[in-house]
Amino acid sequence: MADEQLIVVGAGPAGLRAAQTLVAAGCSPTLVDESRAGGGRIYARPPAPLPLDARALYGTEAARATAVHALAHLLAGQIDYRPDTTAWNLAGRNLYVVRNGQHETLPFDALIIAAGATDRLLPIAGWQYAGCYSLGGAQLLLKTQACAIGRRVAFVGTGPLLYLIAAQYAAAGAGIAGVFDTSPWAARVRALPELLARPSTLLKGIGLERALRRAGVPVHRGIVPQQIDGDAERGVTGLRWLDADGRAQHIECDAVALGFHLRPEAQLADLARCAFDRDPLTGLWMPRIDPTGAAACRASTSPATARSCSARSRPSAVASSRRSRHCATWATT
Amino acid sequence: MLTALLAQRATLRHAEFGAGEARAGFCAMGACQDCWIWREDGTRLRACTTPATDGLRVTLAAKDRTWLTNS
Repeated sequence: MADEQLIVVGAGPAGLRAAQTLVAAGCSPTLVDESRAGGGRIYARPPAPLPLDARALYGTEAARATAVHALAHLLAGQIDYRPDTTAWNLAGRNLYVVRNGQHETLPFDALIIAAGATDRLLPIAGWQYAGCYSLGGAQLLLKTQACAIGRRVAFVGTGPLLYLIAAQYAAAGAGIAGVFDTSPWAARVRALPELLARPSTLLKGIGLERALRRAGVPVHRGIVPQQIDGDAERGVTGLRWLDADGRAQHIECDAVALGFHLRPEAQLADLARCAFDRDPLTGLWMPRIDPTGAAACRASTSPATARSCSARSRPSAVASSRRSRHCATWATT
Repeated sequence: MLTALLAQRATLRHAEFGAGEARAGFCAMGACQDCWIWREDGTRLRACTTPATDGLRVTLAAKDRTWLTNS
């Protein structure tokens, strides 16, 4: 094992822990990181000279973020760590990467994919207007650039991130037009038994709603988005929706943050010819993995060995007690 | 660069597709390919993942329509 070529793709919490585990076992993996410094998107760090105030940036996750950053620093001195490097293709047992325009082919015997997740997005009429951003993007711009996406932001979609990021904008003093949640109150009641199995997740959710209420942010549930109003040059000007009673409503805003839970970044697993199953709970296609995290392969030809990894690093896209903690989702972005 | 540019102007570029609406980035994490800017030599950059550094000179439109073939 020690002389095998091992590659870990992704330096978020999952990829860093995977690399740490390999090092502890006497291996010397290559760690491919698309960003400039380890931590992934969830623990993304602002560039100098913006201050890194872990408590302000990561809230209840500050201790975890600090530990992940320290691990990234430690590993960078021990292994072949490649920041700013994009893995853009995979064929057979070769990984194709590019860094600053320089291409390279990295052969491997085993590959660990910890590529994280991005926002699950559904198109809404008018989402092409400037000022409409992914929910995760809206959060990154706040965390790493100390910027809001607009002066009056509408948060549209569903899932725990909708409330988390709206609360982070409120805490930063950004102007908020409202939270517009497409899931009805009844769905939240139905989810309660499963959420009770994760009391910390439930408590965080309750805390977020309380913070939004204190900040005077209107929360609309059970809505159906109709149209993001806008102008081809000036961008977003408003939002139209149907409220829970089916009445047409309108509000002015200059930015929209859009997201419906998360979806795994599964392109590399797809290129590695992993088998996929449709998860009935989330409606997402997920790589089929065994309890050790090893991926099943769909091809009869000799496929790449791939493992997917997950670290519990974010409120999971869907709270579900029937899933194992390990490799449950790829929600590590 | 995305932040630096949008601190100066409302939008970044125009979409190559559809009605060619003004764009201002979308995912802000290097995934969506919607914030391209160009170095003067034609090299394509993602504004959202490019640090604003001394001496960096960029244009907001490709000089020629080589955006399909540039690396």
